Amino acid sequence: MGNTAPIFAASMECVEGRVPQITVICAVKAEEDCHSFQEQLDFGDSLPEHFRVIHMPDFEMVVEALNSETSYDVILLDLLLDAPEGVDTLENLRKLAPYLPIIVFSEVNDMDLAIDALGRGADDFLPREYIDYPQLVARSVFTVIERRKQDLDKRVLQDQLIQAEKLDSLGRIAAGVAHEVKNPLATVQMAMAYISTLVPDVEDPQFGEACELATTAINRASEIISGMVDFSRNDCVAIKNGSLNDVVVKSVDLLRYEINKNKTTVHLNLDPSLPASEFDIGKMEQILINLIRNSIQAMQSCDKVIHLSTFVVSPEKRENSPWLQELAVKTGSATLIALEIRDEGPGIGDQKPAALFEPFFTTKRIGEGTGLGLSVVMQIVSRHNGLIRLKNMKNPSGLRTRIYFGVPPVTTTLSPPETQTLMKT
Amino acid sequence: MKKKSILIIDDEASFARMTKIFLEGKGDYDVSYETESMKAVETTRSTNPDLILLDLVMPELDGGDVLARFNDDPVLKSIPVLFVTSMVSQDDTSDDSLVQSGDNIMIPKTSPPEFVHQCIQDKLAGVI
Ligand SMILES: Nc1ncnc2c1ncn2[C@@H]1O[C@H](COP(=O)(O)OP(=O)(O)OP(=O)(O)O)[C@@H](O)[C@H]1O
Ligand SMILES: [Mg+2]
Repeated sequence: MGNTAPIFAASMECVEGRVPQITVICAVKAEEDCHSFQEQLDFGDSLPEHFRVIHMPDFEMVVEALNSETSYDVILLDLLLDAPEGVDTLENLRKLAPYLPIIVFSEVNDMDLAIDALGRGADDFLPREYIDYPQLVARSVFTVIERRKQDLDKRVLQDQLIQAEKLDSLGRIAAGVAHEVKNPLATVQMAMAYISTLVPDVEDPQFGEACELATTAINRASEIISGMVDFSRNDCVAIKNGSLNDVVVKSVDLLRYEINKNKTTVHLNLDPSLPASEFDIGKMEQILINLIRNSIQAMQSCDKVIHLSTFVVSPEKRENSPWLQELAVKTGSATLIALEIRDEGPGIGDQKPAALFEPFFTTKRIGEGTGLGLSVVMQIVSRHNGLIRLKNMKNPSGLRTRIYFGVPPVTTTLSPPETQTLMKT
Repeated sequence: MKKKSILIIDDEASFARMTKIFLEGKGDYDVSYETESMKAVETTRSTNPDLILLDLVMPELDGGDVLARFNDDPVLKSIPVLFVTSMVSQDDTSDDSLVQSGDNIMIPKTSPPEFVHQCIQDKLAGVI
């Protein structure tokens, strides 16, 4: 999927500790053309980027590549690749990879053709007579990638805004509905409790079962309503100074029963040098509980491991990520910290991460999930100006959820190391 | 043993009535209710209950206001009060499903009725 599903950019993570590499699909017929592109891109060792040019002389290969797990940064498309379909090929590619930069390469330098190609989704137009022009190809590649990245940032920001607004109005409706519905529910609960006491006196053999079913159903409805109230309450963010590590330990304790019952192992890897920060302790616990619960539920079978870690985001990682840079600016933080939960479940597949955060989105059976867990997480994280990233992992497969927070400069560093927890449970 | 008397102050008549039926079904209580919070003090004086179940969210006087009036009265002040409210959910009450606000205990309205009953017993016994 890589480049094709960037909403909430689940898979857009910076490569850590390596020279950035730009992978180019070179969709040209002739091998020599591909070589000359590679030469053009390798025009000097002065660039920190390293180009990997992959020759794909026919359209099917490109399609296959785009549908694979590998992610690519840019396509150089020869209009003759699939002649005479030329620009149609471009349109098809665009549909396949809506967000991947495509540079069109053409034998002829024709203005009308260039305009046509750009109109159909090309990011740049490169006629053959220019490709030997020093640095031009590289410049084009950089420009289109950068432009796409900015678009992506904008789009994600918009998505988040829309998401926040939706949650907000839903929250208000939920609060109203929940409040109105609670009284009648409570009345029915009382009634069922009373009626159930009559079971021994009633002759009908089904009466007892009917009472049980009704009681279970009404209790379930009450739970959902309570969940909605939790979700909709936007008041009490009680910000205090505290240690994220302590919250992690406490949350694991709270869930000890479920963890043991599912024979799940929890590994804690908490950074002892994590600075204290300001947050709502109760809400932060809620985040952890919801995430850990999801992981336990995702792993089903026993003997699997959940890794919970906290760490300080390294300056290099931050440099490499426009998201993290923006987060630092937005929160006025010199330091960014992260909370990570990594499980060994099936991950989220091709599911768009944004969908999971929708209230009431669930893939669980009725009675097992209401689909509010992650929307609550999202809401709390955004109240704390944080950032969530989901990523499917391999070996072993699983979901990695990272939440980043800024640490405003005023906060002092945390209690001495002996109170820190670095333990394996 | 003499039955304990309980007064429910709740604007939701059907909830109040159902709670009365439920609790009286237990055999240990005489239950009455008042649905107009303005009349709460008056009714409490005339019934002189052993315990009050007080709704928090009500029009006109809310539960807090009613409690304040009780506290201004030397006799009513000593009657134990349990808040029953739709504002707290079970989750908030994380530790043991009871939220303490000052000396007053709040029970979520949607708690299982047996839990409400348990709270009433405990309150009457003076253990919470
Ligand atoms: N760790 C995970 N691994 C795989 N899928 C997950 C994971 N966490 C969440 N999901 C998917 O996201 C969906 C939404 O999660 P969310 O927590 O919002 O709701 P839920 O768990 O279904 O219900 P609730 O949390 O209200 O009990 C889940 O139904 C599941 O499909
Ligand atoms: Mg969940």
